[in-house]
Amino acid sequence: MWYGKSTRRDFLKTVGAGALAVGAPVIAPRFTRRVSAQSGQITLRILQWQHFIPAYDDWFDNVFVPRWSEKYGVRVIVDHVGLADLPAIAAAEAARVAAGQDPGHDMIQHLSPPAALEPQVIDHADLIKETLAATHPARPGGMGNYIRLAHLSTYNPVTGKYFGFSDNFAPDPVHYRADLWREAANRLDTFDGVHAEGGPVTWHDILRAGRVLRQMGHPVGFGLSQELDSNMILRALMYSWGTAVQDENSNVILDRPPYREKTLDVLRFVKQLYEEAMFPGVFAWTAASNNEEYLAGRLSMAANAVSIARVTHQNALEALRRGENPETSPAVQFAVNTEITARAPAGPEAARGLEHVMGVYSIWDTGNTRVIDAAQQFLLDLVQSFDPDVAEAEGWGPGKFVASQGYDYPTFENAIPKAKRLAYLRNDPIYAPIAEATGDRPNKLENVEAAMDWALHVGWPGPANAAIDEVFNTFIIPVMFARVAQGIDRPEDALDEAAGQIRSIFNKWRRQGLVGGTS
Amino acid sequence: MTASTGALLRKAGLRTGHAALLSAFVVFTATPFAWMLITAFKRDSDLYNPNNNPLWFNEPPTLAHWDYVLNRTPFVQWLANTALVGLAVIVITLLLAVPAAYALSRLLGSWGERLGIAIFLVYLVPPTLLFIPMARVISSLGLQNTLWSLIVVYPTITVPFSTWLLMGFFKSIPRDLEEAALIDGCSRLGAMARVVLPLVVPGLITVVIFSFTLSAQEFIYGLTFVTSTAVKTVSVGVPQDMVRGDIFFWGPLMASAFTASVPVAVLYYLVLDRFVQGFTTAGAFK
Amino acid sequence: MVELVQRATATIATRGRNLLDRDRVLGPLLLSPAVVYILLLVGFPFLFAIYLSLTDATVGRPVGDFVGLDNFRQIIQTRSFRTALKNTFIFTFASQAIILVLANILSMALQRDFRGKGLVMFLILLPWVAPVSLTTIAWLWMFHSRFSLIDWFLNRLNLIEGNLFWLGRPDLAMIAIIIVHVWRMFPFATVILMAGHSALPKDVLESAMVDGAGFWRIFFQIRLPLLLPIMSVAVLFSTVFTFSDMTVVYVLTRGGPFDTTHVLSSAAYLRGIFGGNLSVGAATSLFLFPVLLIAAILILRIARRTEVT
Repeated sequence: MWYGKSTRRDFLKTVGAGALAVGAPVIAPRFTRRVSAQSGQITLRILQWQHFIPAYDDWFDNVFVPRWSEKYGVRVIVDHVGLADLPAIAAAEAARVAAGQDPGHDMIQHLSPPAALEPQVIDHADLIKETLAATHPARPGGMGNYIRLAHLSTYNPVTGKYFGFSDNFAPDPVHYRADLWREAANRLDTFDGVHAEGGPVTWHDILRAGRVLRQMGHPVGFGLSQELDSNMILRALMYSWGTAVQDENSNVILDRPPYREKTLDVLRFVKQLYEEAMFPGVFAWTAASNNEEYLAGRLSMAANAVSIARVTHQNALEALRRGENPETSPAVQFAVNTEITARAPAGPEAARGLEHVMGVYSIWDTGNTRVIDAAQQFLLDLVQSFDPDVAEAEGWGPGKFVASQGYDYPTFENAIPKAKRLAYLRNDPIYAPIAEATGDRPNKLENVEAAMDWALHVGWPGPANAAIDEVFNTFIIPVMFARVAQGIDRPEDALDEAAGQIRSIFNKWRRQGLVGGTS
Repeated sequence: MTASTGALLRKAGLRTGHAALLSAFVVFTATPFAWMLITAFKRDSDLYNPNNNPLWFNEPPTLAHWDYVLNRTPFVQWLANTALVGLAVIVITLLLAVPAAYALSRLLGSWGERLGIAIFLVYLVPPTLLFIPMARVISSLGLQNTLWSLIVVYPTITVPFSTWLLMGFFKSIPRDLEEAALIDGCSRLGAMARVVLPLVVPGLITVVIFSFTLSAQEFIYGLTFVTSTAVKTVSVGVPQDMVRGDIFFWGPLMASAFTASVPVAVLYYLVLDRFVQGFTTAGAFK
Repeated sequence: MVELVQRATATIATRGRNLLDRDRVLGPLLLSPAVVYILLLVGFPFLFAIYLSLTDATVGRPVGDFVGLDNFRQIIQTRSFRTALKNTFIFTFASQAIILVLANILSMALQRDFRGKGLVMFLILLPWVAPVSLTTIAWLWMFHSRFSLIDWFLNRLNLIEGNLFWLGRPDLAMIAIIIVHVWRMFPFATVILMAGHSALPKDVLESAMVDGAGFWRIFFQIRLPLLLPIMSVAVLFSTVFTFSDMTVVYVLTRGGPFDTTHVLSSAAYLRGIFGGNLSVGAATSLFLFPVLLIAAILILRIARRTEVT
C-alpha cells in the first residue's frame, strides 16, 4: 500500500509505462546514470548491525558489497555493531550532521524506525518511488506495494517526509517445543490448543498449557525486561487485547476509555501468565535470552525471529556430520521438535503479532549528492537482490532472502514474490538434510510466511513517530508490565505512571513539530 | 603441653588462617578470570549444557574460539589500536602534565596549590556528562571515527590526574638541590631537566601506567567517537562487535576478554612498587 | 623563546628578584598548555552541557529553544530519576563500606612476607587493571540466568535449587552491581593502604608492642588513626569512580530489572542517547557534578586536617 502524496494507481501507471518504454533490463535508470557517470573516487560508508543470522553478514560483506562496488566503481565500507549500540552511535552522528560536519557514515541501518533523526536525514520518498518502479527481467512483474507496515514505520504524516527506507522486516513468530506441548495437551484432557501443524493459537491456550508446562519444568518465556524482545512481545499482547500506545492520529490512548480497561486487562493477564507459567529469568531478559534459555532446554515456548529455529538446525546439522543417529541425537530431535506457530497467538480482540526488527536505512543529509545518490542506488539494488533469480543474474550470490535464511522479509512485497518465498520455505535447503534423515516434513518454517498478514509495527495503528521511538527506546512499556507482574504496582498505578511519562514525551515532540495528535 | 609447643601450634594455626584468608581473597578476585580462561577453551555443546560442571572439561577442550577471535575478528587490530592510542596518550599527557605540575608546585606559590586542586577537580567531571558536547568538538576538529579522536580526548582524564600526582613528587624534592644547580649556572629549565626530572622518574612511570591503562579501559567515549570496526580499541570492539547474532558468543568473548586483560596486568605488576610509591607521595596528602 | 627569557633574565643583577621574575614568567608559560587544553576540551563541552540542559535540544535538533529549568523540574518529578539518584548513593556507599573493610583486612594480611606473595599480589590486582567493559562481561556470564557459576556452586552446596536469577530480581541485581564495584575497586584501595602501612613509623609500633598492646589495640588505636589520611585518598578515588561509573550498570543490567538499578549516568545515557533527549540527558547527568564536587572537597579537607594534627 502506498500512502504518500500520490496514489498507488499513479505509481502503477508509472511502473507500467516505464517498463514498457525501457524494455531492456535496466535497474533504476536514474541513480545508475548518476552514479556511474561520475564514479571514481566516491566512498560509501555504511553502518549496520551484526545480523542475527551470521551467514547474512558473510554474504553481504563478501558477496553483495564487493560485486556492487565493482559494478559502480564506488568504494564501500561496511561497519557492523551490536544492535544495542546503534541508537547511541546514530545520535552522535546526527549531532555532527546538525553541526554541518561529517557524520562518519553516509547511511545507517536502524532496527527500529529512527523518527527522531528526521531533520538530519534526506527525504527517502524519491528512493521509494524509484524502488517501486524498479523492474528486472529475472523477476517478472513489479515490486508490488511498499507494505503498510513499512510505510507507517518510515513516513511522518505531520511533515510529509519519509525519514527512512525500510528494506526488510523480520517476523517475530512464536517458537514452541512440540514434544513438550503434546505432553501438556495429554495432561490437560480438554486442551485442544495444540495442533499438529498450528501450535498453540490463543494466549489463553498458552496460559492454560503454560501452568502444566511449568510444573513439568519447562516454563514459557516472554521477556519482561528492558530489551528488544520484551518491547515487541508485550506490544503484541497489547494489540491482541485491542489496545495500543497511540491511535491513528498519534493521540495517546492506552489509559483512555475504552482502551484503559483493555490495557488493565492485558496487564493483569501478563501478571497471571508470569505467576503461573513463567519464571524470574524473564526480568533479566537480554536479546540473547530467549535463544539461550530455549536452546538450553528450559523453555517450552519463546518469541523470536526465526534465528532460534535456525540455531537448532545448525546444531542438528553438526550432530549429523558427527555421525550421530538422527533418532536418538538430542540435537537432531531438538530441531525436529522446534516449531513455529501458524500465526500470532490470539487475544480477546484479535491475533496480532509484531515485526521482530524493522530494517530501516536512513541516509544522512550531508549535501554530498554524489554519495547520497550512490547510497540510494545501493539500497535499490539491495532490495532488488531479494529475488534469487535477480541475484543470480546480477552475480549477487543467493540474494538477500536466501542469504538471510528467510530471516529478512521484503517490505516491497514482490521484491521476492510470494511464490519464490514459499518455494524456498517449502524446500528449505538448511532443514532439508534433517528432514531427510528423520522423515520430518521439509517445510519447517513455512508458517513464517503468515507474518505478511499478522505482523504489525511499533506505533500501530499510527505512524512510528519520534515519540513512539523514544517510548520504545526507554522501555516504558516493559517496565510497566514488569512492575505489575512483580506485584510492585497495582495495574492502575503502573498504567498511570507509564501514561504520564508517555504523554510528556509526546507533548515534547509535538512542540517540536514532529508528532501529530493533541492528547 | 609445654609452652613452646603451644606457641608452635598457635603459630601454625595463624599461618593456616593467614593462608585461608588470602586464598579466599584470591578466589574472589581471580575466579572470573579463571572462568574466562576455561570458557575460552570449552566446546559450545559443553558450555551450553546446564548439567555439566562449568569448571571442568566434560568434552575435550577446543581451540575453535581462539581461531574465531584471531582469524575471524579484527581482535589483533584492536589490540594494536589500543597500544597506539595508549602510547600517544602517554606522550601528550607527559608533555602537558609535567610542565604544569612543575609550575604549580614550584613556581606559582600558594596559587599553584589552589590551581592544582582546581585542575584535579576536572578529573571528576564524568564522561557521561561530556560526551555529547564532546562529539561536537571532535567533529569540528575533523577527527570523528579516527584513533585521533581518542588520542585527543583521553588526556582530558589523564592530564588533570597526572598533574596533581606529579605535584606531590615535585614537592617532595628539596629545593636546595635545585638551587644548588642554579648557583652552578643552570637555567631554571635546565635545573628542572637535569636535577628534578631524574628524581621524579617513579612519578613519571606512574603517569605512564595510568595513562596507558586508562586508554585501554575507557568505554564511553570510545563507544561514541569511534564507530568503524577498524579503528576500535579492545574495550569497545569486544563488547560491540563480538556479540554476534542473538546468542552471546561466550567462548570468543571470554577468550578476547582474557587476552586483553592479562598483558596490562603484567605491565602493572612489573612497576607496582613505584606505582604505590606514586600514590603515597602524591599531591596534597603528604 | 626559553633562551630569550634566559638571556633577558641573566642580565638582571640580584638573584632574588631575578628568580622571582623568572617564576612569574616561566610558571604561567609552563602551565598554559595544560590549562588551554583543559579549557578547550573540558570547559567548553561542560558549558555546552549546561546549555543543553536549559534547552529542549534533541538528537535530531541539537540546537534547541531555551526552556529554563523545565528539564530539571520535570526530571525531579519522575520516579526513574529518584530511583537512579537513590541507587547512585546506595551503590557508592555500600561498595565503599565493603571496600574499606576488605582493603583493611587484606592490606594487613599482606604485611607479612610469605612464599608466592608476588603471585598473590598479581591475582589480587587483576580486577583493577583489566578493562572494566570486558570484565563486566565476564560477570554477566557469572550471573547468567541459566549458566551462572555462582548458582552452580550454591546448587552443589544444596543451598539453592535451580537458578537465582541474579539480574532478574531487584535486590539481587543491586547486590550483583555492588559485588562488581567492590571486586573492581578494592584491590586499588588495598594497594594504597599497603603503602600507608609500610610508611607507618616503625618505632611507634614497636614501643606499643613492648608495652604489651595486643593486635586489635594496636590496630584501632595506632594504625587506623595514622592511616586515616591515606585511607581518605583511597576512598576519594574509589568513590569518584563508583559514583560516576556507568559501564558496570550499562553492561550488567542496563538498568533492569524494570528500571530498578539505574544510576544517574546510565539514566542519562538511556534518556539522552537511547531516547534521543539530549537536553534531559544532559540535565540528568549534571546532577552528578555537585555531589562529586562536594565529595571531593570534603575528602580533601579531611585529608588536610589529619595531616596538620
